[in-house]
Amino acid sequence: MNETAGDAARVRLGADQARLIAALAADGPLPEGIDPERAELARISLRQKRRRSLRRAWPQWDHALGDRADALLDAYFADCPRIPAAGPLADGLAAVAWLGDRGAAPDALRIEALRVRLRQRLTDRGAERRRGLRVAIGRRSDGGLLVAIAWPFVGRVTILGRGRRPAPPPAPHG
Amino acid sequence: MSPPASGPATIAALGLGIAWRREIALFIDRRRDLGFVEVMAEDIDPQAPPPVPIARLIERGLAVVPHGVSLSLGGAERVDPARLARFAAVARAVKAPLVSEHIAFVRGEGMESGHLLPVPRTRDALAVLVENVREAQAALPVPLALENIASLVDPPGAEMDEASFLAELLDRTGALLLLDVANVHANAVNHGFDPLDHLDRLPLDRIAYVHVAGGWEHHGVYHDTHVHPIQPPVLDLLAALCRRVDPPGVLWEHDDCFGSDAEMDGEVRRIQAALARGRS
Repeated sequence: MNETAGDAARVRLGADQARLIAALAADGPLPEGIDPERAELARISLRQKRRRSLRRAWPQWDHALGDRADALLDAYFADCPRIPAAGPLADGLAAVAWLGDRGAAPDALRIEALRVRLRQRLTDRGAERRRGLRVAIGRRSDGGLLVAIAWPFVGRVTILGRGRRPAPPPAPHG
Repeated sequence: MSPPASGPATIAALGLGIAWRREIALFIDRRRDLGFVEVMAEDIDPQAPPPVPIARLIERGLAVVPHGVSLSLGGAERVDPARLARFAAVARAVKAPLVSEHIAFVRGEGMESGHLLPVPRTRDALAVLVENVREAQAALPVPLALENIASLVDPPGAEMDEASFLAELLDRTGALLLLDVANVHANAVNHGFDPLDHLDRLPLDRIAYVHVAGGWEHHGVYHDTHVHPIQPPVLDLLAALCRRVDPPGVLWEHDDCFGSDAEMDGEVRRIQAALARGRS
């Protein structure tokens, strides 16, 4: 790498920026010189932004969890302060996995997670559409097998093993 | 095709614009007074044809401007070449006349902030920002416009004020300016400066287009929410800007709680009235 005036500057700047992100997005200590009241407002604002982004990417979150949607999102954020680099779709996938680990993920969300995984590959640079015949396998909340198949060309996803679910999930948002 | 590091790129006339969101696709499609829309660059898959509502707008001759939020141009790390390549591919996919990004950072040392954070106004940060912007310009097929952000916290150690920082950045990179007047108002309220003096010290002839958005003020702090109505001082600032320069484009940004078509139309009319007030 070229030695430029920027390289030393990058090292100093990097340390400052990492401290600021840790303070505002992950409850780290506040760097000196930042007004604590404003920092608290910025923390709330970042949290709201994360919440809104996740909900927009995952409308099924509210639909499937009803009254518990808010509290569970708060608990997920508290447990997992780090935001996935791949964005809100990936944040939602992680939230469903987090719910699953606690035995609290409704089947509607488990199925939506399969759909999201079939529809796109989530990279740190954003979502890339997946093509061709794709299969993803997951578990229902009662332990039964869920199989999702995406068919090439027609753009449809078939879900096998829904069990005795009362209603299909809401229309996909894509 | 990338703009030279010195000398402004040619600035295309854009007219009136609205930030495209899926929820208001029909509202945007029905309007006949728009010259352009902005799309979230991260939401467009450059490998696929543009979404049908966007493709319709391109067919009708509207300019589509990809607006990025994840390049982290103000970050200490070099801009990710793959991320840049994706942004460039999105620009080509929607036949964009220009693209825009923020003067901000969103990640550092493996952590994501989830939203735009302010760059400290230091010589170090400016040197890094200039390098990053030049790298981005070299990778992009069209001119890049840089947007001023709103911030609640002011990073410590500032060695210059925001207008000087912005003017020097634009001068050293040849980048265009996406001037967000709501963000100027936000920072003027939150960090205590005179917004008109700020405008007078910016290179207004470098404006590619202007952002106008809603927000709310609470306990003396302005929050740039994009869900509330546009506040009157922001419209006054837009009018004041138009007394100084005729911006090539003006775009309304709204992200949620869209309201009825009549309510949204009312917001657009308030912008048009401010423009007329400034131009008269």
